[in-house]
Amino acid sequence: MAENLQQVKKRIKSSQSIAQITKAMEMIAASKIKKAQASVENNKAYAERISFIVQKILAESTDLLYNLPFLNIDKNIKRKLFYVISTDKGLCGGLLANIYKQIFVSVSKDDYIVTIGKKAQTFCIKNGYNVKASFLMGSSFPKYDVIYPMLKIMKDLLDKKEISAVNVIYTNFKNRIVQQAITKSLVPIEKDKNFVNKGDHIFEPSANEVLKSLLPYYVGNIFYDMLMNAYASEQAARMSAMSNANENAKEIATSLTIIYNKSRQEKITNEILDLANGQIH
Amino acid sequence: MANLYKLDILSPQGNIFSGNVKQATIPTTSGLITILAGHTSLITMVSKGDIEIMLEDNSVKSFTVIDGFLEVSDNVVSIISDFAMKSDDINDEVIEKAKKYAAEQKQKNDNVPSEIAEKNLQKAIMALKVLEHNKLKRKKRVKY
Repeated sequence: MAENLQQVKKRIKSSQSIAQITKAMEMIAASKIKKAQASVENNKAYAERISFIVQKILAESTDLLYNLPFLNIDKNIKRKLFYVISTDKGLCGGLLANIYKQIFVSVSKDDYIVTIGKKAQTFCIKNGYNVKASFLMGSSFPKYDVIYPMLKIMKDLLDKKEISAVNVIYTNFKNRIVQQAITKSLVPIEKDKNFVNKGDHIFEPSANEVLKSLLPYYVGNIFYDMLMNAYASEQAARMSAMSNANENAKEIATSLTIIYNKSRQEKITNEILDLANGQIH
Repeated sequence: MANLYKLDILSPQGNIFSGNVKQATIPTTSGLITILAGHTSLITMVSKGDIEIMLEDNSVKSFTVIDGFLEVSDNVVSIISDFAMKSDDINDEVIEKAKKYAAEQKQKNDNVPSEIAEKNLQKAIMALKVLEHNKLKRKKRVKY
């Protein structure tokens, strides 16, 4: 009995310290998510305006654009490039499992993969995917600069005509409770059919020139938006996972405390009974 | 009243400016242009420099941009740029930060693509220029 009591005490302590750690992690994620959410929202207007302008130009100049990057790609090439944006660390609930599911569904073993985040890297290598390069996600908010080396791989492969499309698997941040792992196409840029050709814009120096520098800019911005979404989702998922873990740990601690008190009381009662009955064990 | 139009300056950091203006002077790749109300639809590239905006009450505001795009249609003008800032917001601290960041990047590894290093350096230089410009302006104001 005495040993059992000690063990229970130990377990109470460990579950309490787990509760403490998870609480701390939850608070860290909560503070990070604030900044991430603000950045996602700040970028929204800008991103929307860029895609609005791009779609406008695409609608207005239909036949000019056949030799531009990101628009017309040889459809005979079967191979695609996938960017997988995951996390460096676990402890974020079902977020990673959902991303892995997306990889299984949409990537074939022939396709190239560029992983962002340690978890995706180990997963893809383990499962025999064709990993072209890997980057780290980092624990702080991603800066705009980080996308250049990532997108350079895409540019090189497009120039070499090795791939026909570029997709991104990431977790879309809807709000703090709902995040969704999705596969989104980045290249080729699709035309939105809602835009009608009004044909009233003047381009300076020319539509081709403008698009040439606008398109990489546009792709970069979409990609950065995805990166920010993934980061915000990671923090949100970690926050809710940790708050669940914290609650569970607390629950275990209370039920263990009850068991501890009960068995302690039982022990005392037994001792008193023994004394009253005059029996000695 | 009729001679106003809506101007938005957007950057990844958020809405830098949004409101009705009388005129705006913008540096583009094909030279400085001034846009008044009723301008024809136009799409062009913004180079680096100062954007000067005249508000309804004839007061002037200035912003700094490095590379971006300008779109005019139906009396709405949007300027999108990945680096846009109120010129008054640029001070020694910002410049120090930009310089430090650029130097850090350079030191970290030589593999950093030249575009990034260049862009950061440009930011630092641009910020410096604007600061000097602002200082000059202030001096002038005091003199006269």
